[in-house]
Amino acid sequence: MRSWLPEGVSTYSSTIDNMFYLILVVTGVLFVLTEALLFLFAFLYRRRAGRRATYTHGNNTLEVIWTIVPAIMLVILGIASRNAWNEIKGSVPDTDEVVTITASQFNWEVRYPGSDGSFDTPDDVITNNEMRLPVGVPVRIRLRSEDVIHSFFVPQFRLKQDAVPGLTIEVWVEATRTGEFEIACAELCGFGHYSMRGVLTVMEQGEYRSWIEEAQAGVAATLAEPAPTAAAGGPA
Amino acid sequence: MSEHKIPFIRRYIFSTDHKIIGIQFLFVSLFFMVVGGLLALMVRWQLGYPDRPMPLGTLFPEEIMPEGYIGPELYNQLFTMHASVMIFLVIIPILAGAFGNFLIPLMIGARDMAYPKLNMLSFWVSFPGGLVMAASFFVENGPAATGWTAYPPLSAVPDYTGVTLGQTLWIVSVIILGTGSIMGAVNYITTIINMRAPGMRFFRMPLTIWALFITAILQLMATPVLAAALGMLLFDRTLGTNFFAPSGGGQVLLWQHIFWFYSHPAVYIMILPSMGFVSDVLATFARKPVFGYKAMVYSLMGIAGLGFIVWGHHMFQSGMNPALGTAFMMSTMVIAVPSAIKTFNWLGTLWRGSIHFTTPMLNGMAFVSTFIIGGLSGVFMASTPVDIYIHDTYYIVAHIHYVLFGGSLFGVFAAITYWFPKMFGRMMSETWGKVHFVLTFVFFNLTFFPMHLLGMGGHMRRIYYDPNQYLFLKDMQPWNVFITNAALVLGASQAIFALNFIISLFAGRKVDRNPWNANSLEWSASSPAPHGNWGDRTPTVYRGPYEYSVPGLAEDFLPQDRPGEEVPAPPRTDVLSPAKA
Amino acid sequence: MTRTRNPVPQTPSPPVPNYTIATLIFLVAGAMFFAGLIGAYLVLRYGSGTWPAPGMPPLPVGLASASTALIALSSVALLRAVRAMRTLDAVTLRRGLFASAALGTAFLAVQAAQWSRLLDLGLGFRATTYGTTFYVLTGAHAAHAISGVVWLVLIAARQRELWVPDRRSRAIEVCALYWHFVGLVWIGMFVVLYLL
Ligand code: HEA
Ligand code: HEA
Ligand code: CUA
Ligand SMILES: [Cu+2]
Repeated sequence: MRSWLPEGVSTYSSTIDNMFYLILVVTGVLFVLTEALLFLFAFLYRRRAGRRATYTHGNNTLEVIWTIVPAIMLVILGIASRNAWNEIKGSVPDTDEVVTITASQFNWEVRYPGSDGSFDTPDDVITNNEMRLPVGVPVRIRLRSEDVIHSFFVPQFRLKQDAVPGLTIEVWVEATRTGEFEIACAELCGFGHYSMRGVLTVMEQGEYRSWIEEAQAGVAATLAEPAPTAAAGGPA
Repeated sequence: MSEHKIPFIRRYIFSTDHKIIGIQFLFVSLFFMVVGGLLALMVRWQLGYPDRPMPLGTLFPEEIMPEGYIGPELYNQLFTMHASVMIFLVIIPILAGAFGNFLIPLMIGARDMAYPKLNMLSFWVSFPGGLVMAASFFVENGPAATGWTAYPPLSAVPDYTGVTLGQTLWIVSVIILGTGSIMGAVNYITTIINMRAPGMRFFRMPLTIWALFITAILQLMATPVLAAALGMLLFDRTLGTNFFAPSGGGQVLLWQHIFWFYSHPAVYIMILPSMGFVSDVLATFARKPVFGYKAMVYSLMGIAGLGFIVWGHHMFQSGMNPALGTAFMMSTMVIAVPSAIKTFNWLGTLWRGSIHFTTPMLNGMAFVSTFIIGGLSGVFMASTPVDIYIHDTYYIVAHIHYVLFGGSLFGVFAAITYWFPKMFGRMMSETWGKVHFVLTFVFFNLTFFPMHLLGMGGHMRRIYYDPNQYLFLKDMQPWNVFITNAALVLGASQAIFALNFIISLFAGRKVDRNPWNANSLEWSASSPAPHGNWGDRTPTVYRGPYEYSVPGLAEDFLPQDRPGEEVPAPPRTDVLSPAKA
Repeated sequence: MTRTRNPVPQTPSPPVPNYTIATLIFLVAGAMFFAGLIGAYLVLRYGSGTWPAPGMPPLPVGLASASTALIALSSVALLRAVRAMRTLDAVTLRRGLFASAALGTAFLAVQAAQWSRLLDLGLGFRATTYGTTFYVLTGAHAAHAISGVVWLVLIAARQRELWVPDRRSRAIEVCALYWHFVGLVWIGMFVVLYLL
């Protein structure tokens, strides 16, 4: 039964996890401290005959301390978070691997460029709710949506990004191991939101190459035939 | 006592007495709390026992719940309406409407609000607003199903959800409720600025009043912006405009910006009054002045002011510019500072007190304890990289409930049990109050703490549970069963509160003016206070509200309106003789 | 506004009366409402490539300048009316109120002329956000202006005596604040919609 962070399989998953643990430690200490004081005071200063509460309106030194110390801690957490954020969002590593995902109710359409190397041409390789990526290379993922907002979420990648109608949003990821993972939709998108599941297969680079080439060839073959409705689904 | 001649309908229904209006808000909100709670339990049933029909589910029409099962469409409507009811019809009206009305004049020493009729109107605008929301349950295709955040395009185009009139009614209802809130806020602010009793300087006001004052300012400034956004959404939905539709030149994210510009301040609207109540309750039952009174006031102001510049923390994954994300993260981190100040001052208030564990005190301490957890989980989400992962997971749901149930609602429990005697002249049962407290505290934590773990596991929120879908959710299902069981007990425990409340209304022990030996002005009026609050005199205020355990006095409290010298700074102990009172 | 029924004064004479505070507070809410609309307008405008939308007519700056002048004059007339009230000059007061209402009506007429001109030129309500935002902003403002004009006329019509009862003088002050607010909002809109 999973009740902790799942295994991370992207290059930045450990950045995010470490940030999580850093905050967990800081807040954990504060949690224990404050709750312990609360219970301790409740116990120590419970009403007893003959004892009167201490008459005090406060203490300015203490106020300053517990303003400044949390402020410093929070600014440090803020700066650390910013650095991690910039690492992930700041720049997309140089890469030729690009995939376009178009979300719609309730389907992930995954599009790879055909042999012409460009998108939205008839020879695109298209799969639905199935995505394949090579391991060990950065991949850019372009997210679009046709109808409502969806959110592309792969827990093991620590990757989540809304797909917004009217925008094309680019994210990137570099997988660190092969395997099969689930793609989830994380933004409420209608009654089928719960079922907008996809499967992601991270493959060895060679394996991936041969899969995509085969798929491209398959599409090209269908195009060559004189069938007018060509662009529809490629091999799955 | 001329008010005895006022006919029933003007006395209790169309009353202009702030106390009656407050109690009207209280009753209506408590009723809706039962509704919102039952909706939550239905949500939990689906999540815990998807393969079993809901108990009593067959009583619902077949097209809503076939054979007693909750389907995905209904599920979406359930949590949407659960949150909408809890936020718009329970927490905001109970904090601002019920306690704002009841307490402001009593605690500042006014005979009523500045504009009693406007006050009555604010209730009679809000109440139909609530009815409109309730009505949406009964229209064709059911109530809203877009989450309480109503993101377009989902909320703007009926075809995307299949919900038609229900969503429109939701929008209209929130506009009406907002109008009622604004009316209330105008009244509260005017009253607090202009109607304070002689001697009631700003810095002698109880923290409850400060909190309600600042809340009113937030409501005043945030709600109209939401109204503008709701108007646009309504136009998109009914007139075919394209504010939020990219195909017609609109922008999807525009809604989120405006909505959160309102709704982030709104979450503070939902916590500040509770913070105020708890400050008063803690001081009264620790028999000790509030620690750092001025710091408490300034931190309330700080939270409110900063609350307007952090809205983007709900949008880190929305496609908003990442650089903007960093700015919003920083402001969000800073907003934790005033909350830290408050937390430590509450602890300081307990330090070396003489703590009476009454029901309000226990609930007040539970507030502090759970608000800390909810607040600290907020820091995880404030961190942009961490939020990539936990956004839209149960981690957020855990946060919501720790701050809103653990925070706001425990504050409300504290407030209800504390001011009940002033409202109705009778006490609630302490024994049953404590039983309710213990059960609620324990099962609250059992229900909502594991949600953090679900969130860490990546469990999405707003997800109907279908065992044939996600494998990783199936893996976490035992937690959901556990949570559901705990939630059922939590819900059942609230019946104790309801019974205690209702029975005490008629059979509670009668009490005099000041059953808790508290200092603030409301306790100098009779219980319940008559129309006009103090008969033909108004109290005069001589000191701050927290003069507990003043050295040299026989009693351990010193009411604000007891004539005498001002109490000087702590070191002096030769203050005044109680004989003067 | 309602009179306080309380025989005992609440605070030793508050420096600013209740009704002024309440009105100002209420207008803060109004200002936030328009700020929301104008903010949305700016986001939509600067988020879209072309503005005015392709094929759509530009907004008539000339007519709008006229309406701006009218509503400004209306506010000036009202200022003078209120000053007359303070000097107990009921005749000038009444005249000022009517003048203000008349100028306000003229403002509304010019607004209506703008709408009909733009509709003729093909600027529909729905087709473009350019059109929608224009009609919604000016429409929301006009709704406020109509209520202001009606209020002014009602007060002016009742002001027949040679003196001003306390109660009415409060109403006039409140109404004047409201009307100046409506004027200020218009000037803001004029700058944002027509001049930016
Ligand atoms: C009463 C309501 C309430 C309150 C008070 C808060 C308080 C805070 N909230 Fe929360 N929030 C909500 C209600 C509330 N929130 C709701 C309803 C949502 C979900 C909306 C939705 O999507 O449906 C939400 C969502 C939400 C998000 C968006 C998450 C997401 O969707 O991805 C974020 C992100 O930053 C956030 C942050 C915070 C922070 C930093 C605070 C801070 O104010 C907390 C400050 C308090 C403390 C930190 C604890 C006390 C301090 C100490 C013990 C000592 C000092 C601590 C340190 C040095 C760390 N909240
Ligand atoms: C104040 C706010 C509040 C409160 C109190 C609660 C209370 C509860 N909430 Fe809720 N919840 C929200 C605000 C709140 N919630 C919000 C904002 C969301 C987000 C929705 C969204 O995604 O859009 C949410 C979402 C939410 C979810 C996530 C749904 C999803 O994402 O799929 C779940 C799931 O378990 C849940 C459960 C519960 C439970 C079990 C309770 C229980 O605590 C309920 C038990 C309580 C009762 C049964 C009440 C009975 C009361 C009485 C009997 C007192 C009456 C007194 C008298 C008559 C005198 N809530
Ligand atoms: Cu797509 Cu949720
Ligand atoms: Cu927020």
